[in-house]
Amino acid sequence: MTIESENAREEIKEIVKKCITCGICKSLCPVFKTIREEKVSPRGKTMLLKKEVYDEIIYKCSLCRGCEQRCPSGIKICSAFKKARKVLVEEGKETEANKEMIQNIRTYGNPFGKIVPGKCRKLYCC
Amino acid sequence: MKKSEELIPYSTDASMIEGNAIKVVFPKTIGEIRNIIGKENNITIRGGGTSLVGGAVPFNSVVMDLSKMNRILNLDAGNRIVEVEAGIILDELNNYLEKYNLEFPVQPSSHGVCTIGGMIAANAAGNRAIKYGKTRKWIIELEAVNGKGEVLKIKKSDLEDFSGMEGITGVIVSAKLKLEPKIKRTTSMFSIETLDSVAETAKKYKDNKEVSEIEILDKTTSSLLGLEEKYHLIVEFENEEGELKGKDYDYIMNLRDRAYPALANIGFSHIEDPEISFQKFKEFAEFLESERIPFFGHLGVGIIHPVFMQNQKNKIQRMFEVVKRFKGQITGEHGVGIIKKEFLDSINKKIIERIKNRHDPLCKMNCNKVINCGKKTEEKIEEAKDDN
Repeated sequence: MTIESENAREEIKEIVKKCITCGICKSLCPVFKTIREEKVSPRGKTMLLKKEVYDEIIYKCSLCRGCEQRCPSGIKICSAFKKARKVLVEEGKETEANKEMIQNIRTYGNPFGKIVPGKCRKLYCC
Repeated sequence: MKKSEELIPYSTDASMIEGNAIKVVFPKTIGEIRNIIGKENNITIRGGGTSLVGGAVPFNSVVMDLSKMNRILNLDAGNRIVEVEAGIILDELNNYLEKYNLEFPVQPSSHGVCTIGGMIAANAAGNRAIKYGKTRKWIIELEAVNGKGEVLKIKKSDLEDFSGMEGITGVIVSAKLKLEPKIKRTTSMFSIETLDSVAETAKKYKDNKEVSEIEILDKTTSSLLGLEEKYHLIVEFENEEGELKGKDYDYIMNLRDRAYPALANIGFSHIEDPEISFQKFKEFAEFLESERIPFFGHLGVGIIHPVFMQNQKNKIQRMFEVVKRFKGQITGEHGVGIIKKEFLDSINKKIIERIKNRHDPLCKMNCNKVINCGKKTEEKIEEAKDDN
């Protein structure tokens, strides 16, 4: 564990400890509305982070901040997920798609890779 | 992620009580539900996971999550009847009904996430109970699978076998519900100095047929929500009488929904729901204030929500004694779950036991919720096998 990831873990702990598991965050979450499983809901992922489970499931979030808009406790949920992704990257646990996207940005200056006119490229979610 | 970690999100609900799930299943058909009941011995049914009494908390059991059974099966807009699967979320149903100018009028504060199945199982009330009563009133027919795996069509006369039983008799699969025409609502908020004036103002609106809710916020709650440190009464009208309309109306309604989380955030995370008569409100509120217990609630129907810190068990006990002295109910809308089993009176307990045994003699469904089954599930199964 690097110092950065340790610090990020501490910051995340501070953010998620305010969660009272009311579940109201689910009401605007497009990921939950599509998959309809608690584990991908903002509450579900917050509970995982509370228990310090860092897994690529944290990428199942569009970072739209709908949950933050609804959270009655005012928790910056998406901010916690972004930091958690940083931890995953620092600890070498990010997704293959994420790795490829970063490589593409470094090589070609865009997340899609080499642009061939007229050819549609795979899209990635950051 | 390890299998055990994947189950963490299913280990609790809005009660913050933690249990442990051994598996989670997402049935999509009655056949799958029957299959699960046939195979498993200890099942916890889950809807939106918004129970405040641990209704959806598993204890070494399989979680049956109905979130994927969320279809609208039929709408008869002319006769104002809709048939839905249990996992549909109340706001999703009402958003769909909006284009037909209809709505399902019972509205708990968790309307954005609670499911119709959960509302039926808990016989949920909510903010507009003064006008629309509880969920059961709006059910025409239910389809359910009981703990024996039997598929049942439950008519109005037998609704109490499932509605209000908190899932201990079986799984609610779908429901035929009555609807109301959608109404444009307005609200007024009164900032009040004394409890006498609160009671007086509420009394003025209580019997008005155009009023659909009367909510009280005490001084602590008001101040936490950014209002003046006074009592606040929120009165909702089903006409133009309210001063706040449109966006202002939405703002006040959102504010009211944030009362409990605002209190929970400063440590008052244990919420109760006693029901007392309107005449006793002032005395009850005085008691709460003398004990420094913040509160808010549905004053129109006498359901008050005092909130406590986790280590204030003695205060809760003292409050229950006052509720009993005032001849009130220990729970007005959250249900019994695992928290309030000890407060069920013996007559109610016997009635519930009889219904439970009729539908779920092996105690497979939500075992040890509402009432204790007295024995371990496994022993019950062996006993029943011997009987056969």
